[in-house]
Amino acid sequence: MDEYQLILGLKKNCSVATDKLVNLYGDRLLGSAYLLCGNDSTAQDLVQDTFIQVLLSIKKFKMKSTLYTWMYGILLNKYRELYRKQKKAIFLPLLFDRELQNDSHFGEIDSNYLQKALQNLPFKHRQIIILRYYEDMQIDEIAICLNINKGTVKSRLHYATQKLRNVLTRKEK
Amino acid sequence: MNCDKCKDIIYQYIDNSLHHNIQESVSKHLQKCQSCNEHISQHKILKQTLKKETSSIHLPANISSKIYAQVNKQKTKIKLLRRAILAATIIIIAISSYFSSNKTEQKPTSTTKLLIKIHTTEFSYENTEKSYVIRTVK
Repeated sequence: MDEYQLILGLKKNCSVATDKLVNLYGDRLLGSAYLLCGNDSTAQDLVQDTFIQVLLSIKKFKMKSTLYTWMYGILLNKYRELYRKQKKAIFLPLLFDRELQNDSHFGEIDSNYLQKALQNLPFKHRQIIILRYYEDMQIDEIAICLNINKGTVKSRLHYATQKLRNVLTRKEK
Repeated sequence: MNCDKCKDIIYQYIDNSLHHNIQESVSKHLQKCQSCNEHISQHKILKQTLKKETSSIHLPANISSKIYAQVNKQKTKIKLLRRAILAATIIIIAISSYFSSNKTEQKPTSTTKLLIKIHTTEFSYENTEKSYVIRTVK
């Protein structure tokens, strides 16, 4: 079943197509959601809501981008919606100095530390890091997904990577 | 190629989306330049770490059927809502047309007839013995 057939199946509200969609993109989308919100169960809820929205509005999908890019846009909207509703501070307190004393050995990048550093980035920088390094999207694809131009993608990516690097190398010292 | 130029196009270099001549000159620059090389290795490390970070989490097995059921529930809700809206619109149209048809059935009164005449005609006046007589020009 290729993507076109999958979309047709979804438009016909076929349960096999739904299964296929969830198997194909579920874990990938979950990974992104997890990196976005830094929490297992919230990520799962986000992905579930995203899939429901995708199935409800699949008829509006005009195939101008890939299905995944379109779905990713919906995930981002769901994420924004969630945090607008909860009015929750997304930024965790920075604990760098304390951890610097306690923890002296680590591998290349401590994954717990990376997650914390990621959650401390502003949303627009975090999402671009995830799209680039986790989703492995090219600059053009990111531009389409976020509906911004390529120059902005590049500068944001550059800035975000630098910020992350600053935080991580500060830890490494 | 200098470092500034290289850093500007390094993302496209990683994507392999540059013209092959430029791709080659970036490769050459990378062989010499330590700081630009760090960009590349950083990219790899970040990629690996993010993949590793998410490799252990998976969706529950039954989630697909749950999603399917939820969607169908919402779809029936939407259907019912649409029907309700349709019914309401029909009722509103019916009521308003009933009232407006009552109005149109009323015959124009003599005053409105006169008003219409005044608006659509030009007048010339002639003085007669007792009163003004209005004669239409048309």
